[in-house]
Amino acid sequence: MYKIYSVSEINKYVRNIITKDLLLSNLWIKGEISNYKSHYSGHMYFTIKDEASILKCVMFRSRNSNLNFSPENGMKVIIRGYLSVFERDGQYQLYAEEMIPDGVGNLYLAFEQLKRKLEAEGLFEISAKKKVPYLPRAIGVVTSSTGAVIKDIINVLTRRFYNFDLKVLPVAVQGKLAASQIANGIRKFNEVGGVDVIIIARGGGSIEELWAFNEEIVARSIFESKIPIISAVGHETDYTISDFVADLRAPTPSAAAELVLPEKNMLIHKIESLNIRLRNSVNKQVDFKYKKLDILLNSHVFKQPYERIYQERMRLDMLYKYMRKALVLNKERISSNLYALIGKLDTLSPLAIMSRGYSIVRNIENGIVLKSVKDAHIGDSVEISVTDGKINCTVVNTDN
Amino acid sequence: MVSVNNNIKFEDAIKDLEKIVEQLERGELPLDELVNVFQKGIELSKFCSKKLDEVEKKVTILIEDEKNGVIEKPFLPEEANEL
Repeated sequence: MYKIYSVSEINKYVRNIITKDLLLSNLWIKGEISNYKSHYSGHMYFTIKDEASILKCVMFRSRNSNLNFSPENGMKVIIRGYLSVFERDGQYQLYAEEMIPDGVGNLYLAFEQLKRKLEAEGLFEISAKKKVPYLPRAIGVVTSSTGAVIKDIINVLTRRFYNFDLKVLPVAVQGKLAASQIANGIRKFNEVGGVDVIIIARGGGSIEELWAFNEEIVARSIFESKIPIISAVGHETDYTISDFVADLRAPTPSAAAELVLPEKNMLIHKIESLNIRLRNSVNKQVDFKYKKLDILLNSHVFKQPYERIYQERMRLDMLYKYMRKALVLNKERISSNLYALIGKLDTLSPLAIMSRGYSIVRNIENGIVLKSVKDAHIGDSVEISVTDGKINCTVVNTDN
Repeated sequence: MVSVNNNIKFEDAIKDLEKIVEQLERGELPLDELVNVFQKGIELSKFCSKKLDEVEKKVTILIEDEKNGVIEKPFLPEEANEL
């Protein structure tokens, strides 16, 4: 028994099949616009066709507000979108999310493809990018020798630094020959040397005019360059493959000139102020050390180095005085003692006794003093000492 | 005393000079080192000033010759092609 479906069920079924399909959920499709209608709601309704068929399209306002061109009947376009079914009408149609005019469409696709390819190879890796020198001794430029770009670069550099060495390698910057000339120019600089950085530059233009900077040979020669490369192509919003591969991207050629050299006045000022700080800090420190020294020198230790000596000397003097005084006193005491003793001595002196009449009798021969009659023998020669001399006698008789 | 090698880069020289100035301003150095560091600072500053004026202004255009080499000629931006 066949199930009998409703119309809505079938339409819903078809919708599910279509929206689940991988290809149909995101595809690029090209065709010519016809039956174009712009609704007051802002949504765009049209068909795209080729020689044999047509396909209904809708591009909602949220999507088409980004378009930088106005779609028209007869215009060839490339659309990215998805297929779905408008269930109410049983109609499958293309829901457009992006749309570009077909002339450039191929270029745009080629750009995307090459970008993906080179990115996968690692040409855009940040780690592969070389550092642009801070103060290059010489700058190379690969650009057209005519036109505003090279003049702008020279003007900006002159204003910013004044004395610089710029080597211009002239190339075509658009057209069939441009890409190989640009690639060769980069290679030439690498061979001949003499520059520390290379700027590749081109003024603003359409995607076709900038196309040379999206070519693979240019990208590869940028990647292989041993000299750092600044890419300055088109306007600020233009991004080319050169910009992704280069070591540095500048939004415009003038901006590249600003990136490649610092401002000389700023540097002069910086050196000058460092100089001043250098001298000031040393002066300050030396000053400080002088002050410290000064304080030390002014301490009383230095001002009166002899003070201690004077003090000790005074002390010495005083002690000496005391000593003398003590000596004198002692002397006096001793003197008076002495006199006393001398006095005593005097009275005890045999001379004093003798002056009272006593005398010392001595045997002349043996010198013995006669103290008793027994010491005297008749006939002995004796000597009598009196106060003023000696009397020689002979013992006549003893009597006891 | 030439303690500044002529092969150093300007960027490094000016960074070194900054470091020296900061070191001196912190006031941590003993007096004899002070003299040496100051001396080095002066030399770096002279080196930097000299480096700025080292390059002579020159704009040349490279023209390939027959032998696939290049000749340098003075470059005069052409007025005629101005848009």
